[in-house]
Amino acid sequence: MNDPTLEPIPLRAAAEVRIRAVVRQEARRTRLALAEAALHGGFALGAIVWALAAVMG
Amino acid sequence: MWEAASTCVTVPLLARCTHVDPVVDLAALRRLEPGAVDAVFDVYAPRLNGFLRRLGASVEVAEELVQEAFVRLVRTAPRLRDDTRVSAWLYTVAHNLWRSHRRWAWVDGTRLLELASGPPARPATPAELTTSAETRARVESAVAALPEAQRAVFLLVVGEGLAPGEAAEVLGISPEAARQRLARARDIIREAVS
Repeated sequence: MNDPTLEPIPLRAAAEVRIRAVVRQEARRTRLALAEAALHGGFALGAIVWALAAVMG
Repeated sequence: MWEAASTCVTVPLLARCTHVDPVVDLAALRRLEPGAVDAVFDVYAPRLNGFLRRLGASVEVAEELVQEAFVRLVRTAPRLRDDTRVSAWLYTVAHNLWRSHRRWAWVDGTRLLELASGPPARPATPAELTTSAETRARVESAVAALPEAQRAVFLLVVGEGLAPGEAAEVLGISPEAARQRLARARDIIREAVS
């Protein structure tokens, strides 16, 4: 038997749609920020390797 | 990827849920795969909403805090550790957001309106419609009347299936304090519905 009193309470339909959209947008923004950080990290690493290679001839 | 969320089973009322935490694919969540985020939302948004409503949040405030909790989850997801329990993480954030909201609500006076309007109303679920309305009303009323410290522990353990120790972590109290509050809450509810 379920305890109905403490069942989850669904969000109102309109609110659920709105909140899902906000969360998905935030997920996209975070993924983009991570990708940019990885790209910059890659450039930095490449520059270091290039400089080392130049120094060592 | 996901195990279906099991239903919170409490027999009788004061028993703890036997399971609640579905297995979350943390790797997918860290990568913020849309399906992973949606799956967590499907399971936990109604649970967080219920938790917040029963703590005393209005419909609008609960929705606002659920949104903020999920936005924070998404921002934090890439850094989640392997041993993170997403349910406990979300309840911790939601509870902290609620406490913060209440502090500000006292300042701007809206809390007084919430207090004056009494316990929050909420829509009936299909399961509720098949159960004794009288018992349900007494339980809901008794839960709403619990002191908030006890109500939070009761909702997390009985309603959401966290272990008392996990509830203690969510609320930032000692395990012993959580057990004491839970025992007291159970006594009060038992007395109210008997």
